[in-house]
Amino acid sequence: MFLSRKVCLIITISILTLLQACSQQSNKADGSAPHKYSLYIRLKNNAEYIVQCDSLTGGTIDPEKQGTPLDIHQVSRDIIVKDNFYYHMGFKNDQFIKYKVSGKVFQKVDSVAMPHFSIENFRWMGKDTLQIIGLQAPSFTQVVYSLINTDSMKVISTGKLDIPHPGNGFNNMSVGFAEPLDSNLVIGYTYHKPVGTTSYTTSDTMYTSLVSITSGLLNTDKDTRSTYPAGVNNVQSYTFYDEHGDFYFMTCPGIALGNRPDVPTGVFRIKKGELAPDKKYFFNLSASVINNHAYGLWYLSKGKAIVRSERKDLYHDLNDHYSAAHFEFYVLDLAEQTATKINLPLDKGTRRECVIVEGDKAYISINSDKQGDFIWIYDIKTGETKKGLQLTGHTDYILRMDRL
Amino acid sequence: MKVNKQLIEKYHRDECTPEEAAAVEAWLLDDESDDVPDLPANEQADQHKQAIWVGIEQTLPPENIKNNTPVISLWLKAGAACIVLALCVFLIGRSSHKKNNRMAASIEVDNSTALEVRHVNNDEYQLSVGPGTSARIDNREGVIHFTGSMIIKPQRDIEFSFGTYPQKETFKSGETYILLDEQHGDGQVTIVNERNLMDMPPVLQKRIITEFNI
Repeated sequence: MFLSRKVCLIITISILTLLQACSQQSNKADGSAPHKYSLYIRLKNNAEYIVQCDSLTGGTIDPEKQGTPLDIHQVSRDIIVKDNFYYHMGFKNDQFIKYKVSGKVFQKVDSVAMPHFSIENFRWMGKDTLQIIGLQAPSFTQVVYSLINTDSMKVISTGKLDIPHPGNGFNNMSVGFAEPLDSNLVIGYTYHKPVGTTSYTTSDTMYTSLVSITSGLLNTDKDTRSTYPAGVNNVQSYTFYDEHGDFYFMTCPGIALGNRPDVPTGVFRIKKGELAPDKKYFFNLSASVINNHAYGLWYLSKGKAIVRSERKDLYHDLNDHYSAAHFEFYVLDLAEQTATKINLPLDKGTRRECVIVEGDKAYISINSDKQGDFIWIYDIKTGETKKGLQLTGHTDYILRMDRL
Repeated sequence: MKVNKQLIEKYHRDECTPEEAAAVEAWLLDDESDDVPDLPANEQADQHKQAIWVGIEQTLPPENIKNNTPVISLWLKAGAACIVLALCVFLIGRSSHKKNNRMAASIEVDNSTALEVRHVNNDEYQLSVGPGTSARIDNREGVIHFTGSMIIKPQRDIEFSFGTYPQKETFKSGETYILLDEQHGDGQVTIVNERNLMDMPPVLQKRIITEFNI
């Protein structure tokens, strides 16, 4: 009798604790206390949700029960996330829209007109100042920029950048990065041309230009060691600065971006204060133990970075590149130019923002056919991995993971 | 409760208790019941039958008394026949309509010199044929030949193969698929669900978004 009273007491206390925890969660969902992380989830029925949480180290979340549903006709995962706000260019490339999660509603906060602006990359220049580089739609031949105050959602300045238009059969281009150098921008880009009725290829040359907004094109460097610099960073990261202020970026010539699989994927470096990639530095990933193309690069610390690489032997073509589980993760030693495979299940999804680094831990989201949808914890010091937060229910892809 | 003549008469006089009325109504509605009320010992059932028929003959025109089927059943039968007939006509028409659509739907669209998308709609799918695209869709065989780009939105789950490539691809109702012609050298086309557009190479994304005004 005494024991069963004790058991009853324990159960009662547990229920009360659980109710309290639920109550806290509910308050946070109302926006009264910001969360730490945001996960962008796609379910098996193609519905999409934003899930916000405070820990990636364990537990479970069912997006349908605990997340905020998204209108997939209004927003997609090519979003910029900062300070609990989400920024997305409307599908018609004319309105840059600011959203926030308000309980179960993904709520539009404000917007600014940006007509015919197709985003190529973004960079935060300050707490509330966002630089966006794009191409003028629908021709995609003129590079344009916009500097936006994201607090007031006003355009500070906007205009064209003096980058040569494609020519000689090239009719399209990609701009991978635009990094400030003094009052100018160092811009990495390349050109594309059509092949047949619907295919395309990419120039074998990567260009890095120094451009002044007021004085135009100042300098251009050409590099044929690889092509297609730095992808599109509102879908996946490809660049970082190390502790010395040196800028690193990767190229993406594989079929998912450049469609020049004959050219190797590599990591380049622009030393602090320099105008162009270091001619003495080229980490050829395709010639390393990775022996494949790769998409996605995240800095750990102390000259180490994580790269997400494909497995050509496990997919057929673009039809299954995103649905087949064939991606692996490697730790790169940038100085030694070595790659070490991380012990993780094969991942799926062609391009995903899937790594957050905090201290000596890297949190890596994995969509595994065999082991489920988890945030894995990689210990940078020991190299060990273990499962953290699990996404349950009908989760199909963790399309992106951001710190709020 | 036993239902007999007295109780039925009482029912018609509206003198039954609720329980008695319920019992009579249950007996009336129960076609399977063989619970026939007993007649008094000095009365014959045949005599009553004959008297009933005489009564009916007096109230109805002679031609309506060729058999003992109640008039209401005739109307019911006629109504049922009409419904069945109408249903048959509807189903035959629908089947014929579908058959005609499928038979006639060997569609050819030459949009190879156009700058605008052309739209083809039928009962089974909506098709948007991109600029610079020519397409021939054999709906009977379920085969599509095309060069260029198309978007298909099935109204029901359908299967197509492409060109000489033997594999059938399933297109699910309610989904939207982007089709790009043969790019792999083996006759296989690229098929991407619109929701995975972001996983396509950005160069192709831009082209599709612009062409089809997605």
